[in-house]
Amino acid sequence: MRSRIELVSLKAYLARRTLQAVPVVLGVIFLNFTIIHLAPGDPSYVLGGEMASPEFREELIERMGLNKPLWEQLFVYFATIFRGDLGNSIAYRTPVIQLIWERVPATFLLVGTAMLIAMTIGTIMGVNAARNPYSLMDNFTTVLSVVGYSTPSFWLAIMLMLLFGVYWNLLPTGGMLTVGFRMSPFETVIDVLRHLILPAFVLGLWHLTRFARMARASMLEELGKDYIVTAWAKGASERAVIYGHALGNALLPLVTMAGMSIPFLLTGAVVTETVFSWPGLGRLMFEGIFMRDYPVLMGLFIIVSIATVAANLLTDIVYALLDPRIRYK
Amino acid sequence: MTNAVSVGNPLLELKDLKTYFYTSSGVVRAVDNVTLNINHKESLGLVGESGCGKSTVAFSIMKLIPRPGKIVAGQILLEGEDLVNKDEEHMRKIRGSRIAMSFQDPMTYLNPVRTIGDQVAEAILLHQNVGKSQALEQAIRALELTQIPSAEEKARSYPHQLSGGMRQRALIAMALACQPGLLIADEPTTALDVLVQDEILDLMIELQQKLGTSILLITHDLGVVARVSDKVAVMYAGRIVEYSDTRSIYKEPQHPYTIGLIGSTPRLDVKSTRLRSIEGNVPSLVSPPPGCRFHPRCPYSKERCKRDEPRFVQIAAEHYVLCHKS
Amino acid sequence: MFDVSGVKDFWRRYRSNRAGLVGLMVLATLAAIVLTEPYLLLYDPKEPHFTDKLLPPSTTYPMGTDELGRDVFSRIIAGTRFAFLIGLSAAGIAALIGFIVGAIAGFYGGKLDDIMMRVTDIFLVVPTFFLIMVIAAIFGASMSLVVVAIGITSWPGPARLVRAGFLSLKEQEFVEAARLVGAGDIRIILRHIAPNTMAPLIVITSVQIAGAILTEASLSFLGLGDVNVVTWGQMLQRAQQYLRHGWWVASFPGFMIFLTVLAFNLVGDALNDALNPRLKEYGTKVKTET
Repeated sequence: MRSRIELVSLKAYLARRTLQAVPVVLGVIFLNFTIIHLAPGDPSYVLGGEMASPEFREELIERMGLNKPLWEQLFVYFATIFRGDLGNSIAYRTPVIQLIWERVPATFLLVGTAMLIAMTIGTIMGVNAARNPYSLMDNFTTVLSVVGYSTPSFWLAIMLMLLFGVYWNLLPTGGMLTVGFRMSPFETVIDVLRHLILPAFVLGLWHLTRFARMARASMLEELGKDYIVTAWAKGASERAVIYGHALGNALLPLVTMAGMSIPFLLTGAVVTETVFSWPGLGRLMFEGIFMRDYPVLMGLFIIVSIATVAANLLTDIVYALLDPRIRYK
Repeated sequence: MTNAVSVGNPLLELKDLKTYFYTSSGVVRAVDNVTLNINHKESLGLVGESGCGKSTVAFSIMKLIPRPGKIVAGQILLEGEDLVNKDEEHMRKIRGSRIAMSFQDPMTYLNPVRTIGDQVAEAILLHQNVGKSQALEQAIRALELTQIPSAEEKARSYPHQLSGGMRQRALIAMALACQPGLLIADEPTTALDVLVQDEILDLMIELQQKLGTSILLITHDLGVVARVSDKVAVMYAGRIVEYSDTRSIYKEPQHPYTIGLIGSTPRLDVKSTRLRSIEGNVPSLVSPPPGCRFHPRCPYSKERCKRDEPRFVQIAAEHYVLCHKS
Repeated sequence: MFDVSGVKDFWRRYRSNRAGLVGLMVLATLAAIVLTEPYLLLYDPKEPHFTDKLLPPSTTYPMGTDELGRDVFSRIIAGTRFAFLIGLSAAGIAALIGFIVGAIAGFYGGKLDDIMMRVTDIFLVVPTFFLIMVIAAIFGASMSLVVVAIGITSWPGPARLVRAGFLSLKEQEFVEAARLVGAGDIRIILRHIAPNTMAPLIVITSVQIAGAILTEASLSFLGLGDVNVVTWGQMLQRAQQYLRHGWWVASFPGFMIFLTVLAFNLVGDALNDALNPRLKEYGTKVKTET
């Protein structure tokens, strides 16, 4: 009986959050629209490219309703987006949505790995630092964190590439796969990993430091709370207090932070993928800028925003599942 | 200084205990030469204003003093065994199984993300060699003992789903789960509303009789002490100023502070026009007044009180006062 | 408005943070460089010496030369000024917009607050760096544009802080007292509440300066910087192709970015600690003694 009520309230909570996300997505699309029209030059050139043939331009104007009043254009624009039509890439002459779709796995792999590295190592470092605050280990961790936080990722990328790729010749300097060789599935996996390790580390480092700092602060805050005293009074060991009590509560804000890191990871991927020639969305973004391929840029913008909203929603779900105070109202 | 002891075989003896806090603003002498006994199956009420050091006494016994503090001198004898020099591992075995503690605000003293049953069961699992399901069963029985209705269902609940009174019962259940010889209850009723306070106090009396646990009840509320405790120790500025059985304290209080405390308690049966309070403020524990620490606020103070520290004077068989008056 | 003893206390707390002091010293040194720039330049930063291309550090060229024979050291010095300029202006814009939005949202609350929070939410979801890149790509990358773009995408951070401050402070008694004397809204906002929200604002601004420098460097690195200006990011961008020819072309500019960003972050942290003193002595609630 009780669990049914709880489940209903959980669903209601999630439904509410989803509903809140909708205006945000609409706002993003609207923003896109604004930029297209604020740009210097005719929107048909922005969307079709400078070199577009007159026929192409005509068709574009018809399709997007660019000859109609601004209200209608907005409406048409929304409709186009909801249809999944993000326009065509000027450079590749293929639908933007297809280009994005092709590159998602690579970025997913890179961002996912970076996130994994950041979350696990960062949290472990932070928790350990909190066990002995202001000790040597703790100060060392803090210093390392601030240094990592301040390092420009592209500089780090270049330096590491120089070190591991050129001087020591240990790791490849770019791409995702080594071409030209026929490899067994196992060898392919190893090959990808070798290509993956540097960019994932560079991308994840900044986030690692954020997780470490947050984990430490969160742990310290929990350890200062009253229920910890109860645990000690019961005769719990240090391990039981830290891992059985404090950690569970301390992880909650980290879950939130993980969700908030997604947009930063995606933007960070632009630089990382460019430097390491990783064939993902970030690289696509860079190419789009280089070639002034506005449909690609616009499309990426929307997709990344939607992905962020989805990630936030997912984070909320996970958080609600973990925190009984939300689960059982 | 003569020890204020009581006749009988003591479960816990505090001898000349000193616990100081070394802060950047000076040394806080929170517990400054406290000597106290608690016998088996006896309940002692430790009374005093906030900041007089009573909670520190409790934490000293458990050796859970927060950071800049440490036990500087004295002995804590648990059935003859001195705890002051025992290491952490030893204390860990004692906490929760031989001496247990319950706290003031049951909301913040319970882990919000673990179920009640889980937390009570933990107390059992830490000290007894039983399986998880068995520990949970015992936990449910402990909850039943503290008269929580539908204990099994409540065991699966989280702290925020329970009312204040039930949470306090859960805390007590957690403390009594391993049937300790001594329960230290730190302000068990302060965070509760009046009706619930009554229930909890009745519960404590009943549990004491059923289980034979000694209770060290720490409170600022004389009414609470009157109901639950056999003996009373009044604490002021880090020291015990009076010790006796409950009836004597109320009928014939000797120390001016005790007199003041009793006099300032609002009562329904005595008609009075004004609420009397003790003049002055609680002294600083960093630099307490010289001589008798109470002298600035004492209506009976003399020249001697400002100079010399008083010693324990035995008034009756089990009645001691720290005062120059006698 | 400023109480002297408060300032002295604050400085004492700040001083105890060694990292913060290091950061402050670095910033002071960099500021000195900016101010004495004309005297420090060995060569014209933009002048190429075609006969001296890609030379390693030496006595003539303390940090070597780049692919066009320009003195790296002088370019680094020139870049310092722009780093500060960009950082301070962008963070300044963000702080200003953030303050206005946050103050209004926090003070008036209600519908106004809701709308502004929605807008802030959008900015949190939108990949701001993407946005800046797109803006730079479309409208052309001039330094002022970059600064403004960074400024208008960074205001949500300060806005939230200021809003939180206003929300809590507007209920306080001194506000009520000011009203009774007849002070109008604007006066209350600016003269009474605002000074109390300055502290966290300064902290976040320090961090935002670091962020702005980093963002500009990233933009330049990707080729979206102002080509006419010598910034460290630009230097790094060109250095990419010549990595194998010499480590110095990329190392020095990157290091300077790192150093400056680090300094601002350290100072920001130290300011934060100094303004919110926590009881360091009382570590964890209960730490057992043996």
